[in-house]
Parts: sequence; structure tokens; C-alpha cells
Amino acid sequence: MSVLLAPDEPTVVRTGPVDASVPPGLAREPIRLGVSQALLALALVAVWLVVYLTVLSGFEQGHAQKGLYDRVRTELALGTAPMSAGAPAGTPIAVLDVPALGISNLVVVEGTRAEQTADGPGHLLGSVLPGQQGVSVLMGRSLAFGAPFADLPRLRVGDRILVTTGQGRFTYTVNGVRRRGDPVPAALQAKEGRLSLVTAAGDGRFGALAPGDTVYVDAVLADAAPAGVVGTRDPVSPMEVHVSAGTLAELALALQLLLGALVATVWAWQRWSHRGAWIAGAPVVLAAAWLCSSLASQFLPALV
Amino acid sequence: MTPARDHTSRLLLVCSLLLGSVAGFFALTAPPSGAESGTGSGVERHVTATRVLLDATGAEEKVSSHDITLDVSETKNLRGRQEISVSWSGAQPTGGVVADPNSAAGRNQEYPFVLLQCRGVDTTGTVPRGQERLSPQTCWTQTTSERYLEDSDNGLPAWRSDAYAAPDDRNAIVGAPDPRPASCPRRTAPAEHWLPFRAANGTVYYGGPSPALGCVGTPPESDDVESGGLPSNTTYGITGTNGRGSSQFAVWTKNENASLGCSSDVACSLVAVPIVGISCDGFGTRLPVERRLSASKSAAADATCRAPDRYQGGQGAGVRNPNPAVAGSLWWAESNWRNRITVPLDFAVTGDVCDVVSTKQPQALFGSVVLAELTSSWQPKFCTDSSLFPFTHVQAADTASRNLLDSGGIDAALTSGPPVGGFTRTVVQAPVAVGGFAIAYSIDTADGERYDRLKLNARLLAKLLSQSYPATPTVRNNYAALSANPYSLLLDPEFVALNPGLPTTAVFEAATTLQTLATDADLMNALTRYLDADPEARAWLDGTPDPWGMKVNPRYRGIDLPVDSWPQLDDWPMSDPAALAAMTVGSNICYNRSPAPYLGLIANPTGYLATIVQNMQYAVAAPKVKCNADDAGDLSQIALKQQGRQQVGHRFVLGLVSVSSTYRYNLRSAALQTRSTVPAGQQFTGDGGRWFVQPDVDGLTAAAALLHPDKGAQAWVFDPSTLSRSSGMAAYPGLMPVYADIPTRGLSPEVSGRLTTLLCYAAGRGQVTGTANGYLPAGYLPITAADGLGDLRDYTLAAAAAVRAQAGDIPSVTDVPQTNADEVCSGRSASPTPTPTPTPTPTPSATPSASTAVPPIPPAGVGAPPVVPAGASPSGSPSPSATPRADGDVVTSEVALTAGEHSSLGAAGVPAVLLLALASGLAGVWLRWGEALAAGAGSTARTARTSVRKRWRR
Repeated sequence: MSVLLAPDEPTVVRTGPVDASVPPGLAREPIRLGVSQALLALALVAVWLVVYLTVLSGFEQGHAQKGLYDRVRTELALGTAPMSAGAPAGTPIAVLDVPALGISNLVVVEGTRAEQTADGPGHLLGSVLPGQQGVSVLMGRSLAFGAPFADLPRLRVGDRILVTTGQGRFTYTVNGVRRRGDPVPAALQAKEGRLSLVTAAGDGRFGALAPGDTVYVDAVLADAAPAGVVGTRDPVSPMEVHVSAGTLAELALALQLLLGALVATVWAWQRWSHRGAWIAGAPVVLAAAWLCSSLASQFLPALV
Repeated sequence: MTPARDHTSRLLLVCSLLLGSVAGFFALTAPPSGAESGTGSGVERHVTATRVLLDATGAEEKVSSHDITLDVSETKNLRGRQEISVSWSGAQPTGGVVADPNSAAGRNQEYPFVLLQCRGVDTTGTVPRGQERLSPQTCWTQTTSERYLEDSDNGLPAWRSDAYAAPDDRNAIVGAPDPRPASCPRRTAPAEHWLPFRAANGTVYYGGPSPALGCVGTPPESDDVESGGLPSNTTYGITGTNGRGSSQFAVWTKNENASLGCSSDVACSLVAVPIVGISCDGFGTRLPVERRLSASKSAAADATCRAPDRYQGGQGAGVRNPNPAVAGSLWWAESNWRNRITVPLDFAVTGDVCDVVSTKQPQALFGSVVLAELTSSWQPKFCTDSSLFPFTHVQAADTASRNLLDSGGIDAALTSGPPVGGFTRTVVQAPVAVGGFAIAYSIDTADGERYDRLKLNARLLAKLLSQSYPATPTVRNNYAALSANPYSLLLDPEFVALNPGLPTTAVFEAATTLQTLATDADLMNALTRYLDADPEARAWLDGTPDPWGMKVNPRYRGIDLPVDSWPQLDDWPMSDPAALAAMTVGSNICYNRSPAPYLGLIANPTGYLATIVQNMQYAVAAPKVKCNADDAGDLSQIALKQQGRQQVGHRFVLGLVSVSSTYRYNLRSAALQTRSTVPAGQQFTGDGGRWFVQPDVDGLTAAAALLHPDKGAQAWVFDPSTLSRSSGMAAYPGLMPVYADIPTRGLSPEVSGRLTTLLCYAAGRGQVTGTANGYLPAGYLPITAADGLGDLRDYTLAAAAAVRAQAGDIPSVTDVPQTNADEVCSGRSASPTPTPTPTPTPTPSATPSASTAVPPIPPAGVGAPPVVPAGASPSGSPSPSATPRADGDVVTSEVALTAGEHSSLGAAGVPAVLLLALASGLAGVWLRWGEALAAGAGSTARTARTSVRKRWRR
């Protein structure tokens, strides 16, 4: 809009002191603005965390599963897949298929810490390998990192679970789903094997977002392979919050990286060009944030 | 939006729509993947071939131009030694015609139409990974004379004047090995052209003038090497005076010729080179100036190149040498090579892939040689399809296979009928294919043309089998019983009456016998049942002479038929000293060294059907009566040999093979007599009153209508005695159903599941005709309701159900139960029971589980109480709580309850974060824009109030 000056009005120059102080009430403006910006940033971070847990971590798990699948395929074909305990944590040991839930070619890794279940269901150390005589326990996540076992409570008696290990392909039949307080299943007969799939689940309408209690699915196999050596129990429970020192150190470094990226982006935004700062800075900040979230998610229990 | 953004968004929309439509177009028009039934894989190609003559100034004069069309009958799903039909038109007529276009002598014809099998991809661009570029160096020729040329006159042969050749290829010595081996002639000929052959494994064979003496090596399959392989498939085709010609071209895989090395992975092509002659550039106008020859030499070169043709089109080869500029030996010269037509050949995947692809143990199926072509098509399909299973077909004698099956040695057999007396086990015979036997032949007429209308009746076959032709004068003069018999089939008036126009050579051992298997086979059983049912043949075998007085060999008189393998009963001259003396006095020193029944040597049955098929394809005579005294160094070690390959134009061989092999290898098969109304004992001069049927689809279909279920045999039986009725006279007598004999009790679930899959495949997809792997090859009649064989198909499905159930049932053949195919066959690649591996030795890093809190499962029967994990076991894994049952005790178990675990972070974490996000977001928004929102809300409220009031006032 253009302001038209009235052509006849002369310009009047005032001399004398001019009051240039801040109008009353506006001294708190910057504080207010600052606090609101901080709160909005906090909200953004919280939303990012939720999005990361529910969606983005699934991509990480998918990527890990791909690599694990190629590896386990080769090992199964060559016959070098592990058939007893002793494999280092994180190695793929079996492939899981649950047709009733649409799970296919899910690679099971050894170990049930948060780092291992982030790649896929983990095999509990101290139980036999799937397909062998005895009890074999597999634990998987239900909320983050692809949530492979999210639908586990939907299994019905009679559904089949197929496991492929170095010893062959085994078909388990589900014979019960139980939670805390339900009776444990009957004893095993000779040459029988039981597979227990464990995950965390919640109750109520928003139970999927608040998995607090463990749920167990038991399946039985009539003719199992002879059991191999069983490993040592892991003292850390899968529902415990357990963070190793190494993770903390990595998280600290990642946070520094995130901070540096943010500072650099802001500086570029002010000194360089707005658009350039967005284009160059956004991916870096995003990647650093992803890294931080990935490390921070290890604070969550291994079954969530 | 700003105009720029508006414009950009519109552009993006248009691009996305365009890309989407392109993608949709490709998706809709993508050709369906997967195997096609491949009956239409013939190709037709065209080329215009010209020959020009250049004069000293370089001006071109076109002397000939031909528009050539090439037709190839099949190019897909080819198998080793399969013959494809090649025909061409518009080419220059061939002069100096030889009898055998496949021989090396064919290269000396003028204007032949050369067909070669070459390895590689014919392209000037980049060659796909793993393939080679096609060139004359990768084309197969059997002898070095087809690749090495030298000129000893003036060193200016026609190929040095080739206007289209590169300057380096017009030198005096081209392609010679460097350094020249010492065994090669020290003084080189004035002009030499070497064309090395590059084998599939990279070895380069230079060939050369005298490979036998070391100058230089040739591939192992070459004729220059003593061992020699198959006759060459390089064809110097003969074009008739009308410009047309045709030939059968046998394609090779790496099993037939490893140096050529074609397979489903290695690209190969059929290359047709129409020879039009060298385009003459004797004066070297296309060469760089410094390479041109002197004026006199140029004139001489030009004269050599422009020499006139020595033969007219169609004229037979005589004593004159052909015009070298237009001879077939220059197929590689650029003037001829540039007009080539390359037809890529697509080979079917063979069973070799099964060793690489499949890790499962193949199922062995024993028996029937009639199914050889079917299993070679199904085997690669079965081992590469995860819903099927790998198998191997062990071609064995049918009787032996039945015995093995009955005794429990094998799980499945392929035969054409039950054993005499039936099976002792409960075995179901499920039809898997309907094939037949055929009498294959390779016969040339008196004009040297290939004969393809052979008619045989049962009596002629009986004469051939019963060693009743004496073959040579010595035999006839010394064997009283055969003294009134004609020497061979060609001189038998009965044969001549049915097949006029054939040469009447006096001594022709191969025309006195039928090549058959030495081992048991249902093929022979079916043939002898046909002979037994024919009244003329049966009467003749019982001693009645034929209308011209020929009598059966007394050793075979009254022979009891049918038999599974034809016995060699004649032992002449071994039991007759006078005759033996007469035989051994001759010049056949090999025979003299070790006399044996002579007619048995002529019959010379073989152990493999594949040998008979190959002998028919290449006209190899089986009689083992040849003695080459000059071959061996030590005469005391010399032995009789097979007569071997007959000369083209004078061929006569007959053999008993399967119908499917006649289709695959393009063998001619005889029409067999079904019915005769000629009175017995009457001489005849033609085939009037007799009916003959070929083993084509019509004949087989009509014969299939004569199959009737036999309750005693529990299978379908073809009764040849029904052929002589009017309902049967259009039926081919050689029909043979082939059954899979599978026990219905006692098989393991894995094996019974696999065999059920086989029967389901045979009842369904396996009866679709086609050339690709997994389809029904030519020569088998599909078992479908459309061919009148619906009962057989239903029986196969019922048998599949019985095999799966393993309850000892055998469905009735007369009252075939209806079975639901989906029920029996769905999803049945039986999951193999996991083979338990022995307990693996623990890796050194594993610590034994002494400290585990999860109790091991106590073995049944041991009364040790389980260790209930003490305290709050952090693991939720259940522990077996019941005491193990001792025999018969009922133990009440204490029911333990699941402990379970709880995590508050898990329960409260995500909801808390969401609430935090919501709360801080709202707070931030209110702090930042709260007043503006409130003001805006206030003003809108005020305007709303005033408008309400206004409305109220109205």
C-alpha cells in the first residue's frame, strides 16, 4: 500500500528530547517469545521421538533384516549356520515364518538385549535353539523397530509357526497364549520341543502404545532334533532398562554432533542464504537427530 | 500461489501424468513371462547378396544379385542332436554337386549354400557379459581343409583380391601361427590363409596343412583326429536350379561338441552363408597404394578372380576342379561372409543344471526307454521348480525294473505293463504317458534321394528278426535251410512289391536285419505281440513259406511270442564243420581268427536305445563283419569291426526305436500294416488290399481308442488283434502306454509325497504339448479327455490319492473312481522330515550350561523331580512343572502360574511423551500467539454479536 502524503502539508521538525524507552509491558516480550519457542521446540522433539519410535525405527530394522537375511541364507545353504550356543550376540541363527500373522522370512538373532532386538526377534541365551528338544524362547519387540511381534496376541490355538535353522525346517503348532497369572503349559514329552514367543503388550484401546506387560505364545513340535549345547543365561532381563556405558558415550557424541549441526545451520541461515541453509542443513540435522534417537532408543526395554 | 509456483506445479502434474501413462502402457503390453508352448518358433530372414567386379580404375560392375530368403523351422528349446529344418530360396544354383553335403568334399562345390553352427553373438556393438562375438573363428568345421587354404601356383588366389576384405586379410600369409612350428613345412607356400578355431575354453586351434604330423593341432572332435566324433553338421547345402534348397541341420550342445560349447547359457547361432563368389578387386583399388601389387601381378590376380565357372547349376561333380573364386571353401571370405544370415539358437536347459541347483536327493525312477525324451524335458523343470522335486530317470530293462520294485529295491518304476503273474506287492500302475515303438530307417532310393515312404508288414519284420536272410553267397551256398531265401530285404519280392524304386544291391548285410536292443525292453514285447497277432507273420514263423517260397530259419520256427528280448538262436556255421571251413577260407582274416555265429554278427544287437537312434540318424550300419587288414599293425590282433557309416546316396539301415525319438532326431519311421485282405499264399506286386499306418498323431489317436482296461493286469492293454478289424485299421500298431508303478503301502511319507506330485503333474500340466522344459514333447499322445483318454487321466489322479494315502488300495481300472484333483494334489511337496544331525561338538568359546537356571527336560521315565526356579525368575520362560510320568502313573501336577514381567517405562513411556508434546505445543502456541488469537477471537466474537443483534433487530 502506498501512503500518499498530502501535498500541502509542510514537514515540521521537532526539537527537544524524545522518549525512546521501551513501552511498559514490552520488557517481558523476549522472555515470552523465548519460552514459547523453547516449548514449541520441546513439542517438536517429542513428536520426532514418537515418529521415530513408531515409523523410522522400522526402516532401520528392515535394513538390518535385509543384511541378516542374505547372511543367514548363505549360511543355511552352506550348512554353517550355528546349531548350538556360542554364536556371538547379533548373529542370525534362524528364519521365522508365521503365516497367520503375515510374518515371513523374519531373521532371528542371538541375544535379547535392546541392540539385538532392534534387528529382529532375539533368541534367549540359556534356552535351546528353535527346532531342538526342550524349550526355546524367542523375544521380539511390539512397538518400535518394526514391531515384528506386535500382533502376537492374535494367534490362535492351531496356528503354525515355521522355523528354519541349520538343522532343518520345523513346524510348531500354537497351543496357547498366556499372560501373567495364566497357567504354564504342560510338561514336554520325550523328543518334543516347545517354542515360546515373548513380547510386551498393553491392555485397553491404546494398549499398542503402552506395552507394559509380557505376553507369551507357546507352540509345540512333535519330533524335534536333539538339543545342542545351551548357552549361559543373560542376567539382564528383557523388560529391564539397561544401558551400557558404551551406548552412553556414543549418545553423548551424537548429541554433540546434533548440536554442532544445529549451530552450523543457524549460522548459515543468518550469514549465508536462507534457502541454502535449509537445503544444506536440513539433511545433516535430520541425520544427526536420527542417530541420537537410535542410540537413545536403547533406553527402552528390549521388548517394547 | 505465485505464478511461478503455479506454473511449476502444473508442469510437475503433467510430467507425472505422462510418466504414469508410460508405465501403465508398458505394464499392459509386457509380454507374459514364463515358458511358452513353443510350436511357433520358426524364423524367416532375408538378405540381398551381390557380387561386383572392380576394374583397374575401381569402377564397380555388378555381376549378380540375389534376394535370398531363409526359413528355419525351430529355434527355441533346442536339444542336443536335434535336427531343425532349414530351407532357402532365391540363391544361385549349385554346381559340381556332391552326394553328401555334410562331407568336406562339399566345399568344392560352386555356389553352395553353407550352413554353420557358430558360437557367439553376432553384433557390432557391445557383446553381452559372458558371451563372445561371433566370427568365422568361432564357427565349427570338421576338417582343416575347410579352414586352411594355400595356393602354390602364383600366390595370387581369389581371396587375395577380395574387394570387401580388410587390407591385412589380403596379404600373402594370413593368420599363420607365430612362431611357425617346426613340424610345419619349412618353405611356406606362396599364399596361405589360416583360419584358427577358437574353442569354448579359449584354446585356439590353428589347424594347418598336416595336423596329423603336428602342423598344427585341431580340436578333439575334428575328423582329422582318429577318435572322431559325430559326423559334421557343417552343411554345404545344394541349391537346385530353381534357386531353392533345403537341409536338415543337427544342432549341437556342449555334450555333443565341447569345443564348440553351446548350451542354454552360451549363445550360439546358425549362420547361413550364401556363396556368391569373391567380389574381385585384383588391381587393389581398395588397398592403400603401398600395398598394391605390380601391374603384371594385378592383372594375373584379376584374371584368376574373374575365372569362369566350370560347372553348370545342378551338374554333378566330375573330374574338373571348381572355380576357386566361387567355391564353398571361401565361406569365410568377407565377400561371402558379409551376406550371412545369423539365426540365434535357443537351447533348452538340460538336466546338468540339476547338479548345480538342487541340493535335495533326487528320486530315482527306473525303467522304460520309451520315456527318454519325456524325462529329458521334465527333469530340468522338476529340479528348478520348488513345488516339484528332483528326479533321475535310470533307463533300465523293464523286466529288471519290475523285479526290483517287487522286491522292494526301488520306490518307483516306469514300465508298459505288469510282470507275468502280477506284482506281489500292492502296486498301482498309473499312466503317465502314451508313446510307442517305431521302425526307424535311413534309406536312399536308386537315384540317391532319401526315401521316406517305407511300408512294412509284420511278416517282413518277422523275416528281419528271425535271421532268415543269408546276406552273402557264401552263407547261402553253405546253409541248406536258407538256400532258397533271397539275400536281403532289397531282393525280397514282398518288400519290392510294397516299396518300389529302391536299389537292388546283391550283397548288403545291413538290409538283412533290424537293429534292436540286446536287453529286455517292453519295446520288443510290444513289437512281438504285434507280430504274434498278425496271421501272416504267425503262420510264417510257424513254418508256412511265403508266396515266393521263402522259409523261416529253422531255429526260429514256432517261436513262442511275445518275448522281452529277441533271442539270437542261430549258431551257423559253428555246428557245421564243412560250413565253418568254407567261411574261414575267405579273405576275412578277422573272422578267421575268431569265428562266431555269422548271422548273429550281422544282427549285432546293442545295449542302448540311444545307440540305435544315433545309428539311424547318421546311417551307421551295425553288422560287425568289417575287417580292415591294413588298419592294424599286428595281424594276429586284428578284430572284426562294425561296418560303420554308410555313404550318402547308398544308405539302408533299419532299427527299432521309440516314436518320440523319431520326432526329436528327425528320423523317418515306417508305416506298419494293420489289416490285409490279400488271400494267403497269393503273390502280389503292389500294396493293394493292405492298410498301413504311420506313427503320427492320427495313428496314435486311433490306436488309443483301442486301449481297453484289463482287470487282471490292472492296467490298460493294447490288443494288436483288434487292428485287423475295420474299427482298428487306422490305428498305429506300435502304441505303448507307459505307467508309473508305485507301491501303495510301505513308502515313507517323503517318497510318497514326491511320487504323488509326479502323478499329479503327469495328470495335469505334464500333458500339455510343447518344446519347452516341463511340457509333453512330440511323439507322445496327450492323456486328455479330448484324445479319448479321460479314463486314464482319472485313474492317474485316483492312483495319486492311493499313493498319498499309502493304505494298500489299488483303484479299479474298470470302474475308475472320480477324484478331486485339487484335494489330492494341493500344496503337496511334502515337507521333508528334518534329518537329525548328530549332536554338534561345542565350539570352544561356549561355556557349558552348568549355571543355567532353566532346568533341562528330564528324559521320560526318570523320576527326578524338576527344579522349580527359585524366587522371582526374571525370565518369563515357563518351566515344566509336572513331574515326568512314570509308566502308567497318573500324576496330578501342581499348576504353576506365569510370573510375567512388567516395565513401567514401556507402559508409560510413549503416552507420556505424547502428552508432553501436546502440552508443550499448546503452551508454546498460546504464549507466542495467544494475544493475537484472543484479539482475533474477540473481534470475531464482536462482529458475530453485532450481526446477531442486527438480525435480531430486523
